[in-house]
Amino acid sequence: MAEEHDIDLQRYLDDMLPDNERVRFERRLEREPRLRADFDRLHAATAKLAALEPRPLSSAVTERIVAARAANTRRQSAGGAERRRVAAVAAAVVLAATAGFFAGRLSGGTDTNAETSLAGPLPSGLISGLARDPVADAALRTTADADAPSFLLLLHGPPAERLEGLPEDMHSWRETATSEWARALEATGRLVASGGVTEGATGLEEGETDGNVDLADPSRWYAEPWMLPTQFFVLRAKDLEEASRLAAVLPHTSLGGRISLRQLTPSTP
Amino acid sequence: MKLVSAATSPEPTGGEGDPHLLGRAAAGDSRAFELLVERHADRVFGLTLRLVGDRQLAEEVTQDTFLRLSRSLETLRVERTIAGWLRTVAVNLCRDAWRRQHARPWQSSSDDPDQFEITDRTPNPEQRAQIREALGVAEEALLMLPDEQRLVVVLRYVWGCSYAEIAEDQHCSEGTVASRLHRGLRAFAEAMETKGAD
Repeated sequence: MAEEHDIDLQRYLDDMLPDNERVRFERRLEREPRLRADFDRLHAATAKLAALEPRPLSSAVTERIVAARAANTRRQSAGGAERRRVAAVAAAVVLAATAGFFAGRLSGGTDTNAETSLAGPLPSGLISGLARDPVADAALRTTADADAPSFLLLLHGPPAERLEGLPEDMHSWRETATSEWARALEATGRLVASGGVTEGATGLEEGETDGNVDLADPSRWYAEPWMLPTQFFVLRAKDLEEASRLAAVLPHTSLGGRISLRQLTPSTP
Repeated sequence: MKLVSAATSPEPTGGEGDPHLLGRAAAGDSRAFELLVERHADRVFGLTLRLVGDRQLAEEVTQDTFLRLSRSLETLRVERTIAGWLRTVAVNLCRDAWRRQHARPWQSSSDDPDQFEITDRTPNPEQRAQIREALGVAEEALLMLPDEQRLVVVLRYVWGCSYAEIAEDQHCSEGTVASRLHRGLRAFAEAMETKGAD
């Protein structure tokens, strides 16, 4: 009952009651001094909030924002010609690979090219975030060395509540940016493998009795369940720093997710 | 009864519409982007300052919000209003800031990403006093509220969100919004009384 009273009072304060309920509530305000006092107190609080002074952003910050945008645009347009060149090369590689595949089929050869990545041309728009980092930008415009080390990149999260709170256009921005990033990796021979990690997970850990192995829910090994990996990429990069700079282009961390990166070392069984 | 906050400029009207400016900015017109910043930056800053309570951090969050807008221009489809999009991004960035403040009251003291010198960034009493001095009593009282409670109050009474907008952002019913607002407003009134404000 007390809660209903509170909600009615709040809705009256915010002018959210329909006319008939408002009239009824105003009658109660006249009759009930305690309710009136409560209303006056909260109304004064809303008046204080409404009277907060404007806090203008310093013009220096506004100028920094505009300057950063201008610098990004300049880099973007300088990189555009080069990206188009890479796109043409990538398209040629794809054509050659596809032609080779069909030639192999026609000549009865083995289906060795069946898993060749059909990398499309790089997107004509800005690959999200690239302009921020010239190292990543340069890496995505040069073909990776075939003997460059590989790195396992795991995306953890983001927390579901962060994704649920996003408007649709930000979901599509996230997906587009990630997919553009992967295509750019693919076009430069940097993407070795990629995929999702299914939600259900089983973990193994030392059992309570010596020699035993217990099954466990690995989500409890993490501080929060959302920190389980959700997606993986294996990519080629010159070194860990270049791999990190490439990973930093992803929008993942800006949405509260985390990325872990490990160099893979070949081993023989 | 309805009180309109002066704390942030109302959503700007008049002049060239936001969708048109967005289209021009996406096509590379830097002046159009500048106009969008001029139009919305004070409002976003007013929001972030009341949420994080630190001018420098609020400036960083505001700057980051607009840089995200800049990076998203080509793929952005604003179903609601640009102000709503900016608000959502700014609030998410404030939540990140809260998380960093609460979970890790330290971070690199250097801008160099290779240096991970751990430095305690928790404001000392003197810094805290400076922060307080820069804010009014009501803003100080707002900062005494738990983060999520402050968020609802600020969205409603500083930004001017409707119940429906808050309900959509918080994935709850308008009744729940009323209930959360009520608790937040009571907490704010108590904080004001604690501070001896009229």
